[in-house]
Amino acid sequence: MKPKRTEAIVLHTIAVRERDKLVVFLTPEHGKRKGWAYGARGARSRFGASLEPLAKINIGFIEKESEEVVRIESVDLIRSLFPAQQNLLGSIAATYIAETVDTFAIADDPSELIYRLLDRTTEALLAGATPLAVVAYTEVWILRLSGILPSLKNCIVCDQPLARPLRYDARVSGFVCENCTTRDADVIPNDVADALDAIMKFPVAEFAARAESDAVIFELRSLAGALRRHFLGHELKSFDILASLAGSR
Amino acid sequence: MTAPPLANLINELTKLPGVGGKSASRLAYHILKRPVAEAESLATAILEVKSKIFRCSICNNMTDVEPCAICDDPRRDASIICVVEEAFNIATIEQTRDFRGVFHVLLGALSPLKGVGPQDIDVHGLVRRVQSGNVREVIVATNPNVEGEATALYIAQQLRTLDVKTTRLAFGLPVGGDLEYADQVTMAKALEGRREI
Ligand SMILES: [Zn+2]
Ligand SMILES: [Zn+2]
Repeated sequence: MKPKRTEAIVLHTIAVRERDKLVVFLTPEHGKRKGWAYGARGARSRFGASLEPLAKINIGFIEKESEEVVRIESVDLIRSLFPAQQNLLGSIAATYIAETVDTFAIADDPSELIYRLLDRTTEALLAGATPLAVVAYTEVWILRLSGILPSLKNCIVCDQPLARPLRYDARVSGFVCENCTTRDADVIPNDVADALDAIMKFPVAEFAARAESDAVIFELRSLAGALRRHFLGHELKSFDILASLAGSR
Repeated sequence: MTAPPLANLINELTKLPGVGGKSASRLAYHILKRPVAEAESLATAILEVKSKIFRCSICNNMTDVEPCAICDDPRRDASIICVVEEAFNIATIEQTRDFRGVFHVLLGALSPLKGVGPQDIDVHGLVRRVQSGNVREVIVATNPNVEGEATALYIAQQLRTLDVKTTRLAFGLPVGGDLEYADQVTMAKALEGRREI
């Protein structure tokens, strides 16, 4: 059987048996896949650092129709995230971004946009962008790409154009206009709304370069977090650990 | 059909890490073929390890005496602490016979995807040992992977304000390997850890 070859980014790995790894990776054409990497944990493994989380690789794998897990045949490292992972917050942020993408990417469902989001955000971390700005960008965009982010332009209730200040109503999980607003709706500060627009408009590196204040990043993340939890019904596993390390910087 | 007592043993063996159905069955038939005395000593050894082994209160190593043989050895240099993820990592370092310091077992590594955070590993105990004085160097020997590295960074952060030198085990090229096959990360780390000859 001929191996399939594609570009991929490693989302996470699980140590299995003595020396093997189960690798979850995201590809632009084949979506999210799982593969066995036999012997990958041995000191002289031919896979080396190329199957560590968030490594960008060229991967060759063999797929059997009856099996969900493919067999990884060859891996060439395109780009390692290791330099960015030598900063504690950068490393945990990268893990959190990987979990975010892993949670929303659907197995075997090709999504070039989600792949590109992961590619660009990890690249930004490598280039030294502020980890939490990259995290906020990812959190908002993954909602957008999954169709969960409510319109920033029109009222979710009456479809009239929205004006500043933006108002978020958790009961309808969306932004509401002045006429549809209730006492429960939260008024979004204008600098947070501007940052939200910037996320939609700019690539991640440009957004990170705007150097939004900690307060704005916090508000953006709270808003994205509320939408995410409403959709998933739970929080991501690495959320609290990222929060505890971001606080202890 | 497999006789129930045999099936039961196979089932118990498959609960061990790294043992699949085929290996479990092979082990079970092997035990069946051997003399009763051999099976008895295996069973006793398993029970004894559960009743007699506990964690050293100083370093978390597995021991049957308090403190463990390493912490209690006056010939060992207690001013150098080598930090490992798991107690079984101690054996690997002891094999070299080159390390004369003592150990600290973290009981895991930072692993956000498994929900293992700073509070779930024993960095606290390490900090306390360093704070109590007489520690010159902490060698962080966590695994050379993303989780091990994050753990090392966290330890370094926690020790930064204390009067102790913190070092990390070098990431190097495997002895007996070919330079040609080293990937860029391994190569970069090996360069970083180069020494004068
Ligand atoms: Zn309205
Ligand atoms: Zn001890």
